[in-house]
Amino acid sequence: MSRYEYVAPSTIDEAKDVVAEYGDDVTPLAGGTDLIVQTRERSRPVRVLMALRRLQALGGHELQDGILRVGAMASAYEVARSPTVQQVAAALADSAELIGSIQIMHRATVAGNVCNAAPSADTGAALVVLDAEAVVVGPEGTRPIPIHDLIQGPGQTALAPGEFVQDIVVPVAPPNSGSAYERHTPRKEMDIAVVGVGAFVRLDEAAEKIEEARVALCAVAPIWPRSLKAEGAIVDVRITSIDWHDVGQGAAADASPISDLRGSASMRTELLKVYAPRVIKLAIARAQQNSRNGA
Amino acid sequence: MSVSISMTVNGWLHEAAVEPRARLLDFLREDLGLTGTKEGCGTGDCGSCTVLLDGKPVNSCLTLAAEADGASVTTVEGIAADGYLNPVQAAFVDAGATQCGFCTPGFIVMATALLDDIPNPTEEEIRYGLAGNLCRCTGYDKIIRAVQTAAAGDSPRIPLRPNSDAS
Repeated sequence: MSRYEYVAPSTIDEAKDVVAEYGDDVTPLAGGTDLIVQTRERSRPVRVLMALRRLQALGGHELQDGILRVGAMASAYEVARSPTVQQVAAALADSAELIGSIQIMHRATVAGNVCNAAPSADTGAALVVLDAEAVVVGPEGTRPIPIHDLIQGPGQTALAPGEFVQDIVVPVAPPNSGSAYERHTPRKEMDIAVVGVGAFVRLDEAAEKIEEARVALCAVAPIWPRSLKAEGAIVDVRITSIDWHDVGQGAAADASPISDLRGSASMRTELLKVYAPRVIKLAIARAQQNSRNGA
Repeated sequence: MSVSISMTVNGWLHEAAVEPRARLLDFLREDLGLTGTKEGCGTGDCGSCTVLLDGKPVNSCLTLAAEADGASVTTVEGIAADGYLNPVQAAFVDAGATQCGFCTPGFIVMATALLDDIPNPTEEEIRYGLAGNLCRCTGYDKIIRAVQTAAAGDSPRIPLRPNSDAS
């Protein structure tokens, strides 16, 4: 079992001091549901664990000036069950609800899920379609990183040494829009995505045509890629005229799945053809509902 | 270098110095001798180590003891109240919802938290809420029935010490 030091700064400035002192040896700790196991299995060497739990600025979530701010220490449970998140960023609430068990959801954080950078991380694809960014603190100051660019490959992020996520910021969904995330797993709960799809759509005022769309894929590539082909099959198309076969084919064409213990590449490809249309339809239904409600 | 912590466990304040790598599970079992909390998988899959951390159910195998500094922790040993088993415990006894018993403390703690959150859950909500707890003996049915019994308020009153009449 690896030995490491544990420090728990109580302000962002103190955290910066920790980074200045220990440099590359610092590993930030949010919920720890992945990290603690990784340290015990020695798959991830850790020298200095910097707990973020005392940093008040990193807690909670709030809606302000058209932006949903999700603190790095906000738990998956808090995010999934928040009526605010469900209303303004439904795909994020959908995906946070899928993280592990209730016990895991109380510890795990959305920021940690993203920074663990698993291609199967459900919140990753959801945040990509919501155009979210991570606000990152580091020795050089604060900078935003689009979630799409945060994951560089399995377990690899664009975070520089000493950087940690302070917040995830999500632009509030515009009027006549909706989003959704669903995944395929053999079990309903306590499982990891074989295939996941996130979708965001914005409809015209009559709620009959898709004007803007983002589709992102999960567990079928080294990152959470956008499916521009699936998007191309629905943007500027009347909902009743969408060729759903094309949508599924488009999503499958933008994926590069591998075969592993959760499923073969060919099975994943077939599943995408089912899930991409399914999730986009759900996003459309929510957009229509929001349109009727004037949201 | 050890970390100084202070936490309330089952109503008692404890101050201690722990290794950074010590998990809450280790602290409870080895330092405090509260062996009701079990280690099954050690990776957050089985739920045997479930405790309440500031009232919320968590896997104590995935939580460092240092992370619980300042918190209030409830283990299965502290979940009974007023001299009687809590309704979930009593319903488990009544329904025979245990076999080997290893997973039982985790189920009791999680089911108690579940009923705090959703007082009248559907069967699906119970199964979803308990999805993070594994039992390799019972087949789950008696566990689900016990939680339904507790939710319905039909649990028997069972004194904590069978030989003393708490009533």
